[in-house]
Amino acid sequence: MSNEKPLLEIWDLRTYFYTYKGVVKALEGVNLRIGAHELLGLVGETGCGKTVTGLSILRLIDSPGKIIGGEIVFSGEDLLKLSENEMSERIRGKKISMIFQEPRSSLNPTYTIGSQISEAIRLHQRVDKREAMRRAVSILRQTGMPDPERIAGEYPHELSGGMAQRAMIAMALSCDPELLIADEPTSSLDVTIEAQILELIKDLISKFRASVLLITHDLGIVAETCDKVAVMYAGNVVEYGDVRDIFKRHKHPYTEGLLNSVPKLKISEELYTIKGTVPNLITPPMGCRFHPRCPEARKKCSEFKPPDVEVEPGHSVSCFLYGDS
Amino acid sequence: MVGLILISTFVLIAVFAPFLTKYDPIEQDLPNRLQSPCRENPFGRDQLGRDILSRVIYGSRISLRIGITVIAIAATTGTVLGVVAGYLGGIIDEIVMRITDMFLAFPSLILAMAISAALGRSLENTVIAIGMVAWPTYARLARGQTLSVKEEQFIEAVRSLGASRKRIIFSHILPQCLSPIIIQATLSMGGIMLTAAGLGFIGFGAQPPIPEWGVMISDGRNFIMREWWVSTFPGLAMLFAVLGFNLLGDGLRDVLDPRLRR
Repeated sequence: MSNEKPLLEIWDLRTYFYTYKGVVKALEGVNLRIGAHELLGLVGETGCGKTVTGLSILRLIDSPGKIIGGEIVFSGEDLLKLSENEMSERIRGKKISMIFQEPRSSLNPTYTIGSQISEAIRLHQRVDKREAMRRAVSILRQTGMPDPERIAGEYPHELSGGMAQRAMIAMALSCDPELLIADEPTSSLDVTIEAQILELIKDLISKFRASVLLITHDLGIVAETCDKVAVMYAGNVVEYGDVRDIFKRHKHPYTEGLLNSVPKLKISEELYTIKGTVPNLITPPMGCRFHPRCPEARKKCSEFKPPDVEVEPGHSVSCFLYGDS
Repeated sequence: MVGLILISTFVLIAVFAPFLTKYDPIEQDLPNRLQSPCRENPFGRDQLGRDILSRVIYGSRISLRIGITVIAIAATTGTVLGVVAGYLGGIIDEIVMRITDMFLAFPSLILAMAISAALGRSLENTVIAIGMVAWPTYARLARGQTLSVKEEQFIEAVRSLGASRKRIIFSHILPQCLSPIIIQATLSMGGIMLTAAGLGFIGFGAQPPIPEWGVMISDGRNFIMREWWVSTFPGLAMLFAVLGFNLLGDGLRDVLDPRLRR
């Protein structure tokens, strides 16, 4: 697996937001790899840049935000070098598509589900309206919708959250993308639906032979669904590796803290918390951005940014505790 | 409801004008000039002996035509400019909005007068002049609406599916802006007809012998003390038409945009 050329590689991605209060350095050198047919979980606290990473891949960062540097290499092509037109004609929706947190507000309330899915199909494929609608219905059926013909004629407000998310997934997969970015697809749904939706994503992904970037803050979801995990903190990926490695042999103190703060059933001790709060990204801490909260912080941590160190094949950590130096 | 009745009557009169009166609106009958209202001429005759009832009836066609063409021009231009400016933002937005500010800075009647004086006095130029005065309101309205719609999640979602800017603007944002535009169009119809009549009254708009209500009121102003019917009937027609459109606009707003209902 590790010898295969990854589908998507992100190198040193930096996305800043130019606000009145100052420049918010939302992403500061993000490195990430997603292999073909791989499910990568991107986890981290609220505001650590998970969603911004997802949007940056599709170049959907709007003013005042700006991608100021880095490379996003998708199937050997740097997406940051493409023109806006090339992005919308060749990449968005066709090769990479995205589903969002709030499925019902991600659908246009004035069109029916069927016409929105067929619009997505017609954006990238030369088919007439009737054929597009037929494909829309068939893809709705594949997402496990009961009575897809009826659903296709309904408006978003007539669907439940779970149904709307299925419709969104149908829309995202309608052009057979190679990568699906799922931005917290289940946070607005209740737990039983959540499990169904995740199961559905897993099923469809193996059927469509696509990769997934699953953005979430729920470690449980990651453990159950993903192959690889990237842990993000304040605009950096601090640890990246196989799901088992991350859960069993995690290296970074932040990952450690994150895993310890998951409530456990048996032990009735007080819940562990990571001390301090997420740093202000306008004036982030020097060096390693985690050092003010890190129990293992040394002098060096506040002066230099730690490099990514590959501790084991396919498992890298950005921390001075590891590596030769 | 009252508005709807007034406006449907108004439109029906305009459409069936030739069947409602036996007189030609511009045919003169000098021996019977300034005939007071009687059975034969319920609204009387004017200073050239033309039947005022038939002039008022035909005048409804003129007013309606001016109203509709002006709205068509102003609402289309204004809405498209507003939506594009609002969606693209930045320098384009800045330019479009400063131009609308410039237009809005002048009193509309004065500006319309100036434009129609510059273009030459005719009905067509009246339409162009009023159209040029009326579009900024639509641009403002459409831009405001666009700014709120463009932040909606579904716009980001269709972008992520690869929809082009043109497609997003015209098939996802524009339809969402339509209901306030329709309300505004109906509400401003009355104002536009008034402006047109105003231009006709002071001689910058439609020219005689066109049976335009403003021109007719103006014609009658020399006789207003003794031959009151010459100005009064076109004036009343104007009143009901404008009132009708205002009431209809209010009604439409209540139906299309329940949030604004008091």
